[in-house]
Amino acid sequence: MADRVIYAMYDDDEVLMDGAKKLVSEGVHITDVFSPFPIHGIDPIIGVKHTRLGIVSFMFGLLGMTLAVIGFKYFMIDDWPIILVVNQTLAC
Amino acid sequence: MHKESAIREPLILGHKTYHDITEDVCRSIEGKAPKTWYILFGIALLLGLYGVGCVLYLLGTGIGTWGLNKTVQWAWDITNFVWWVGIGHAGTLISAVLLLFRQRWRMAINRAAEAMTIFAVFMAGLFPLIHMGRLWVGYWVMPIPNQFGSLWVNFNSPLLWDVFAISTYLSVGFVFWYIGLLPDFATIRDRAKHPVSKKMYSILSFGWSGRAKHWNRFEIVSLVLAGLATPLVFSVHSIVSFDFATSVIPGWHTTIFPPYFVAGAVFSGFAMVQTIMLIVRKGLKLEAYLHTKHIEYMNIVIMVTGSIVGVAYLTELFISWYSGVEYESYAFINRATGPYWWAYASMMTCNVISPQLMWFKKLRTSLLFTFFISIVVNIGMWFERFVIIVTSLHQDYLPSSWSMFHPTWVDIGIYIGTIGLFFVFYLAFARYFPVLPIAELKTILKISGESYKNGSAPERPTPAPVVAAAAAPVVEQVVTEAPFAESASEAKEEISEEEKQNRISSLIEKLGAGSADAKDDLKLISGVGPKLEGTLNDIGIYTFEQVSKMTKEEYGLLDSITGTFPGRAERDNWAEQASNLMNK
Repeated sequence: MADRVIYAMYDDDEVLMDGAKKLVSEGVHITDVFSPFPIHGIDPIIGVKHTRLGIVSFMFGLLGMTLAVIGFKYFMIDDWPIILVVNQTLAC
Repeated sequence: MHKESAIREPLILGHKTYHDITEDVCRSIEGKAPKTWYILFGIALLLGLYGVGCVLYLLGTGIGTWGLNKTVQWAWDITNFVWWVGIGHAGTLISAVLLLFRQRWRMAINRAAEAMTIFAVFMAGLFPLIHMGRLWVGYWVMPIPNQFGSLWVNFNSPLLWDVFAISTYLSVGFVFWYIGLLPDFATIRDRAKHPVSKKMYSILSFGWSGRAKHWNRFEIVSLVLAGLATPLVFSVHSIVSFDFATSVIPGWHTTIFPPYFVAGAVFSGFAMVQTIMLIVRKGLKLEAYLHTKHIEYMNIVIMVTGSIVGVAYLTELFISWYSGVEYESYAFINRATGPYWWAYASMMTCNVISPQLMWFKKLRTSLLFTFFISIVVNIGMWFERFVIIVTSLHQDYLPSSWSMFHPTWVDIGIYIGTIGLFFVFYLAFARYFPVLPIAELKTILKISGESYKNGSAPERPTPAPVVAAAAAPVVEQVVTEAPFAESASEAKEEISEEEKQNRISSLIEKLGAGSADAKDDLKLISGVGPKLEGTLNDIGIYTFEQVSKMTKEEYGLLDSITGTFPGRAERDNWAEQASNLMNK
């Protein structure tokens, strides 16, 4: 544990980035950076991990798709079949 | 940082600092609303209440109060529905497709366009709901287990797909809009002085703190949502067009309907964005963030989608003749020359001819003309739906049942009422919500800000490495005041490299030359950080003695050279600080 906590205030994102780089290279642990807008490129410097949200949402999408297909099969074929072709000889 | 071509026009005009953006956007929320706002809100509210009254009368009495008859069984209700859904279309395109294509100009309009989408979809959704007649069983459109045995909604019907498409559209649109609002609500929360508004905005901002992790997630979520919303841009209006295209009515069962409806929707949506934003930018004084270039970009979108719509109209005409089907040809001949020729003519004029005028740069960069055309386009798009719906129905296969459609006061009242309600929502939005995305605009300030692009606020040099002796944290003061007017205007003027050198030498002449060997730690002056120190050193200012000689004139000269923090040196009174430090 660090024996002291330093709060630093910057009024420019580029200065902050350079400052953060410098501090990290000197072995100072940066707990967090607060900013009123996203500072692109700060994440790897202070060690914010990449999120798996994209993959997770894709998997949720697949889940939803599967549920929809299962639902259609149940509603339209098993539970209340809708006969779209009356003359079966014409059905392919 | 991402670089932008120098010849590309800046998106933010004038010299704006990060703080200015916050001030400019929050001004309307924190200040008092002008009288015009109250007048407009009052008018919109009255119209909206009249519409609500008409809806209640309709629900109490029945659909018979509409001007429908057995030939024209579908008229203003569906016309207004499609019109409103179409208007809502621009929001998704701007927030999703333009985000994926990294179009930075979208940041001037995305928040307002997304709000417009949501309110327009509210208005659109109202029409199918009241059209059901029995509003209280409206939930029957959902596939839910019920007491009628194995009875499900008809999944073969595009009307049902509409339910899903529109509700997905609304929910995704809302989430997108709200996620973007979170950091801006937090900004307003942090600035709020009144405890009630502080409480309100802190609830709305969901505890946003602006830490690096929040921003990381914010950007990923925006991207994922943009990916999810992109298919919606195409699906929603395709499905709306299926309401007609899957039928057997000549004039409706046209295979080009889906793409043509999508283009038409984007066309009318952008027109509505123009109408609203031209008023908003004036009313809220946001001309620096939404200027002629943005309007021109939108006009180009209107021109392209308008041309697609025009081609679609002509294709329809050609195919109706080429098909050789009498009923099909009749439907189109009747549209153009029958009793509703005036509706067809207005549609053709407003939607096919008016966007072609945008080929002229003079016209598409004229704000007044754009405002006029944007209203014309929305009138035209209303007529397009009216023409498709009513003229295809009113003279059907059986001439004895031919009839005309006459709207009743209920038809008209509900339509006017939705316009009123829409503006009630919109005016409330413009008053209490940040109309521009504060955080997102700040990310493009240094890339597309005018003063950063033309060099009047030059690229700051990389800071001199922090002196090893200065182990204490470098604490810079945050500038909270807006720069003085005179120095800001000074910063705006362009200066050439030569002129800059002249000014530097005249400055040094007055302050006396210093040398890098005998430099003082200028960072001790409150207001000077490592970066500014580097800039000062580059100019040739190294010592407290030099700084202490600065007067108002030199401050001005310094500002005109650096352009970074106009008025700051004078405000912090560097000279006095420096002479104090010198005597220590």
